[in-house]
Amino acid sequence: MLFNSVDFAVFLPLVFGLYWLLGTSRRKAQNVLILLSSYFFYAWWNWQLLGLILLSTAIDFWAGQEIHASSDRQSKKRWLALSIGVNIGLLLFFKYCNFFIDSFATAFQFLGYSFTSAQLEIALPVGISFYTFQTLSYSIDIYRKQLEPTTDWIAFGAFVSFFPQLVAGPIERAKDLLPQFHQQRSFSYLQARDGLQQLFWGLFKKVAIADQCAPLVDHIFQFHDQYSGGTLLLGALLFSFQIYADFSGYSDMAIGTAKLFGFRLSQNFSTPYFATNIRQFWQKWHISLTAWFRDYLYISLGGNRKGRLRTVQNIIAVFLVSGLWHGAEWKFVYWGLMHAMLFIIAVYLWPALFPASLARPIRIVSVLKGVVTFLVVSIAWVFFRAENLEAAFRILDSIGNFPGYAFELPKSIPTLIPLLFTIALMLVIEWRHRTRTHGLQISPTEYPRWVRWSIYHSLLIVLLLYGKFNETTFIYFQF
Amino acid sequence: MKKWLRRILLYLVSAFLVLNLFCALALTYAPPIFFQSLDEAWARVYLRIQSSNEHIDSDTLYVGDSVAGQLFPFNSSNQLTTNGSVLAAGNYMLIANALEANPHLTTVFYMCLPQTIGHDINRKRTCNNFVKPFLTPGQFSYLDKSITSALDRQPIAYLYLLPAYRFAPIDEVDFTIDSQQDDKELSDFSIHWLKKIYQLCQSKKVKLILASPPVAEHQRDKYQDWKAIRAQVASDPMLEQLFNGYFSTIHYYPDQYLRDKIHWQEAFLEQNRERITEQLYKDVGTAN
Repeated sequence: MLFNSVDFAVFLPLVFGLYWLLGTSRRKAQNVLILLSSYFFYAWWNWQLLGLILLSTAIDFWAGQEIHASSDRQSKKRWLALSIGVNIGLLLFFKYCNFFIDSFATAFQFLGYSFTSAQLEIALPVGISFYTFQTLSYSIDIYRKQLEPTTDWIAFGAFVSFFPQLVAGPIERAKDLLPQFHQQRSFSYLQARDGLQQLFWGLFKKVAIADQCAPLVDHIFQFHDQYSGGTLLLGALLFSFQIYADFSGYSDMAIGTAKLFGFRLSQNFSTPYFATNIRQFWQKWHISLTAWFRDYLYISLGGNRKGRLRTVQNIIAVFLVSGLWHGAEWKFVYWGLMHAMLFIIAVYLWPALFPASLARPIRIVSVLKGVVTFLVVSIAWVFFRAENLEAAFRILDSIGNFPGYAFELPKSIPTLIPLLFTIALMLVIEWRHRTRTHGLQISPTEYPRWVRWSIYHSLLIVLLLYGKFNETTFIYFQF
Repeated sequence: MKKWLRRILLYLVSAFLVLNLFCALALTYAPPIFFQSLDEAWARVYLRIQSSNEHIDSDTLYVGDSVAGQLFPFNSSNQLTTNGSVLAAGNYMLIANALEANPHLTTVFYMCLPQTIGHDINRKRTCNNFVKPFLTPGQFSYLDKSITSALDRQPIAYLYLLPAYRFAPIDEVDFTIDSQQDDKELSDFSIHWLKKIYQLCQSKKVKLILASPPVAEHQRDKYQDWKAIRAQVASDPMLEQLFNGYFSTIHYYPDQYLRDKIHWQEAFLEQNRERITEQLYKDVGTAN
């Protein structure tokens, strides 16, 4: 079920009504309702793949108990290995099987052996990369003695499958979200208002920006060989806005929906395109995944504790895995590698060239740094969006060919105006509210009601006129 | 929670009022670029309705389907070509508006392919191309039973009277019926509105020229050279007068120059537009 669908517009009020009708004292009944609603929400796509969530839930619930109960370290390790093995095994099979078969075939052919690869027809279960990482964090945290296991399997099941963030995050840590299922939740007017504001802002970004960019971006990338560098650069820039509006829009809708049920999810985006360097960008983009890799991979590899060379190796390893996490294709590996290089430059080379003592708080310099960071990120997105690695290089080659620039637009200028207008509107609102958790976080103490409602009405008018309500799926569902 | 729900209800009511007020004002006062920016079929037709109420410098008005529009593209001046789904009724309204606003008009060129001139209202694209743009207060006086009976079959279409509903991203209403009219002949609906166009032009003493834009070769066999329409025209004196000379304007061109099943490639038109229009003016006996 998509957040931007009529089905969800019916599903959400129904579950919301039932949830609060149960009463705040009936916490367990509310958890049962969340669990069943979440399974229903997922089964709406494919009920057969629900079995994978059940498997992951059961294994980690069991492993968590056993890790905690085991007295010796070896036994704890075995149970942790089971949890990691099952979750990563599911990921490897469903997401990477064909990638590895292909890569082996290519490697064998490169070495002169004849090797015919057979592709398996495997459907990628929606959200598998998200819920497996979420359950893994539970087992690892128990192993690290940072968390006590739960004995309430309903609460644990609801934590794993919580429908607002089940299919595309934010990837929640058990120590943050699980205790909320054990607490009594009461309806808060302020939280519900904030939740609706965030839900609406997410819907606006998805429907009025991401889905408006999509046809244009799809066309430019599909027929990239017919366009010159200028149009391809425009396509890359538009894709930057599309993927941001799509994914941060989803996250806003997820967090907003959770607030309606009295839950607090972690912030996943913090105006990343206003970052002034790559390091800052990664502190603001897909925060929950970046933090997961930092805590469970980078630190496990030694982090920055084992010298500069090892730190650089660890950074490269994390970005390569991050690239592969997004998809089993070489283009994602290159995307990760490019970001690793940029990150290393930002961490080591940039401060060496421009020491802090030379830094001046000049606004124009910050703006320039921000623009350069955005352009670099947009160029890296070409690997992400292009059909394959060869197409990405062809596009980048054309973009680099400045003298050959021309702007042939696949759509008429008047139809592009609303798109540019809505992007500008989003940037202005997010810049103004950049220190807040979402763009539409406005309180009655700040503006009188008529101003707040005028803002909502204006956004609604833009949605009505230019929103694409064709129930397009979210980009990150494919990961 | 009651307070919260009350606020939401209040907000929804105010949003309903504000959206409808905004859309009503937009429909009346918004400049053409606003409708162009919507990139919707109904908005493109609505632009033609707006233009039909404006002053025209020329003494000739061109209306017609999308193939006619390839020869005489919409120019917000005197070329108000639309598409086949606007129906004879929509073209009647465009002509009526233009004649009302421009008493100096002397000639109306109505150009339609033989397979689109007889379109019935019970069609798939009727909603977006006819109902949505034309069901507005400015066109109410033109609605008659032939249209309201179709709307009565799909009463939800009356919601388009709410200005905001017209802009809403809601699936269009399907006007198709089981006993769909064959496009090899003129529908009763089109005959009714073609006669009204004829009577309107007669009453205003305006010359009405019915002509066909270029037709694809394969259509000749498919439609048996318009045998059914020719028979209908021959059996009705008013239609005979109206279609006088129409069939002589039908010229067939090779299918290889088609962009799709009926529209022509731009390169073909660029090379032949002048020749085709000269032939057309010669056929109807009008100097360019």
